[in-house]
Amino acid sequence: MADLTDREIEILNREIDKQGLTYTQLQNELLDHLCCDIETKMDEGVEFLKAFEELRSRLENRRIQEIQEETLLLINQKYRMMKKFMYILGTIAPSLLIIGAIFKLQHWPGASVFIVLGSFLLGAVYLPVFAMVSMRDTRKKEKRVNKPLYVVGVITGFIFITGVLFKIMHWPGAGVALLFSVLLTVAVFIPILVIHALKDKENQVQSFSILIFVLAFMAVNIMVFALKASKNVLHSMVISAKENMMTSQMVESANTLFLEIANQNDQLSPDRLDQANFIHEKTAALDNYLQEIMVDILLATHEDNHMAIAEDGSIDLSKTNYLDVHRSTELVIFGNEVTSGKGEALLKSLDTHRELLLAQAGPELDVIISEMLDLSSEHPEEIPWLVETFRQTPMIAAIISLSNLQFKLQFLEGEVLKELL
Amino acid sequence: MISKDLLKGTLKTIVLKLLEENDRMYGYEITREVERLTEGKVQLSWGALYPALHKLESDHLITSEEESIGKRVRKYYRLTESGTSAAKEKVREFIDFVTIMGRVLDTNPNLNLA
Repeated sequence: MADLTDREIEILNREIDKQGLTYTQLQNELLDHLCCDIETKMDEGVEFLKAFEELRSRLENRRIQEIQEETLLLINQKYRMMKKFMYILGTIAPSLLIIGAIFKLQHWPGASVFIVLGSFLLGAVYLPVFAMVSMRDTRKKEKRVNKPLYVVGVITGFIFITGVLFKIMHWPGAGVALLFSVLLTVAVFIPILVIHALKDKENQVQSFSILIFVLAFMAVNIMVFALKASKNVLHSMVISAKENMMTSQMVESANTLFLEIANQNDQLSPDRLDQANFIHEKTAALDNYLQEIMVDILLATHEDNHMAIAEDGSIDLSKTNYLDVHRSTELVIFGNEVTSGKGEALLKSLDTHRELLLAQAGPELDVIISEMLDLSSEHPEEIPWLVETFRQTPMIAAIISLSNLQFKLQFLEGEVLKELL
Repeated sequence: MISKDLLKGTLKTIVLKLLEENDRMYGYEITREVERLTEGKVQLSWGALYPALHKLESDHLITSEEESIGKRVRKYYRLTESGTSAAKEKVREFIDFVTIMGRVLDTNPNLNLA
């Protein structure tokens, strides 16, 4: 078999270069192929130059660049699909999260589905795909891939997103995950990133903005911790409302017992006993009305809250949810275009009741009655008591106000009864 | 001569089958072997062959090794483990195809592939 001389190979090589071939692997292969082709022809007795000329005329037709493009297209198929997938996910995942956040804010059902799905796509799918695409891009530029940076980045990001997800869904273990992701970020990811940025001068702007984003995310992370504080506030409000309910019930039982004993006592004047029984009745009616308003508010907040209401109308606050909603309070107290609120009626009843008590009680008790059932606001001219107490008021705060009123009513009944009898 | 359109879908099968029988081959060798087996009726253009080889390599069905021959580099291909089973699978698929096509087109091809 004829062997081409180095010079002849060089001629062929230059010809391939002239065709604009840049993909080295393909370049070497084509050179070898052309050499073999010509060598075969030379074996058949054709001169090198003649074989070369014939080959060159074929080269023009074949359009080497097209072949190169086809080759690159074929071997990059997976990469291009991955990139496309990444772009689509990059649009879908945050959209799901935003929709979920809006649903959550409005307490619409289905919020958690969006949030869980969005977080899963972001943490478990988008992040690894992004790392793979990015690693491939770096390798293509024939630069060294900083593998630890990507691996730590993906793991930290995944733990962080899982932590946020658990936090939002109130699943256990969120705190540990978030703390762990902060530790990983501070102790491992940021140092690797900074070292990488110092070494890779070309992409310093990119590395810097990644650093800024990571720090901003950490701030969000810490803010998520703060959410716990507001949950604690809600929890202590529940306790306070529960205490109001409990004490007013105790005072009510005491009053009832006191009145029962008094009713059996023949030495008391029947007039006074009638008055006492009348006040007890009125108090019970108003107490029931307050209870009715509280039940209305709970049910208007969310239908699930019916679980918290017993058949006799008593409320178990530990079974209530959506404590921070205030639309329901406003709906029940002020009404809307369709239904009228119960606020005005409540105000009227409270005024009537105060007048009734004042008429029965002596001057000393009058002071206490006026003070306890004082329905003026801190700025009486600008904002009436009803608005001050119930407008923009979270459901649990309204429950506290209403149960507190119940307690005051029972307490005052007791005082008036003692004075009368 | 067999038309390019007909060859297009079977190129990978041909390459895999040849590599299965020949341990390792380089591009030019493959075109020559095909020419020899078909008595010149099938001529693989390198414009079709090399993209296919690179695709098979990126799919990990074949691997390559480079060898310097004087001033030039020769790239040999050989089957991987998954390439070996893919070769068998592809050949079987092709025989099925030809059999079915024979039925559809009502011919009686004299097959001698197995």
